[in-house]
Amino acid sequence: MIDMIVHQDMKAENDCNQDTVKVLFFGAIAEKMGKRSLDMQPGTSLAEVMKEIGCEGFSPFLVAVNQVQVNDMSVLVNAGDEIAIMPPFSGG
Amino acid sequence: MDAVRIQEADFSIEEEVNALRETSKRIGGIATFLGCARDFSEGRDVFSITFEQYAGMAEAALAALRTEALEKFDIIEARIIHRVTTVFSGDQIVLIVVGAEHRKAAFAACEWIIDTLKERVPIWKKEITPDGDSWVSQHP
Repeated sequence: MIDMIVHQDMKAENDCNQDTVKVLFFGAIAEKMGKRSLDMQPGTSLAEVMKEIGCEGFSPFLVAVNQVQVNDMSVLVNAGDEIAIMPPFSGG
Repeated sequence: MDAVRIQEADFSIEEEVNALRETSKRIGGIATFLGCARDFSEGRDVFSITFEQYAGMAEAALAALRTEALEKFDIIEARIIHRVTTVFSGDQIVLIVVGAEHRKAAFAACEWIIDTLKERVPIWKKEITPDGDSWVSQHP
């Protein structure tokens, strides 16, 4: 079981914890999640992260690890990593 | 000013074109694309548009776009400025300025940059309408 620590305020969100994995949400996904970030324990795959968060239904979505977009959901996430779960981009 | 920027503030087309022209006297053609906020979208009125970005990744993606455009096309310089704030109908959102020796490469690069920006840069827009707010899906 992966421990989730939901940040309740911006001060907590800004804390940098190198022992955990920071998961960020953007746009419509952040609204559906009701939060912009949470911390998780490392040592699991991106697919397991998605399952644990419960956002498999946010299709389509894009994932970045440490600000680099990835497609391989078997990638393991490590302590200090920053994962972003993002809707398709709509800038411009 | 940097050639690639994400900012809240509005920008000046003239200042950006002049900044590009100052980089080389070999530039013979300049193409620009200006994206503006519309007051109507998807069959409904739009009051305002609010932008959100993934700070850091968005700037890096824009910089990579410029670098790739400079390699891919026969152009001399390119500038890309994108606002991330709340804008109202008629307001400026994004500006792309491309300078080349000849017009065809400038036009082609300018079109490629805006098309690719929409695919690769983590920026999202939410339209505020009289019927409520809605996130905009990817535009072709």
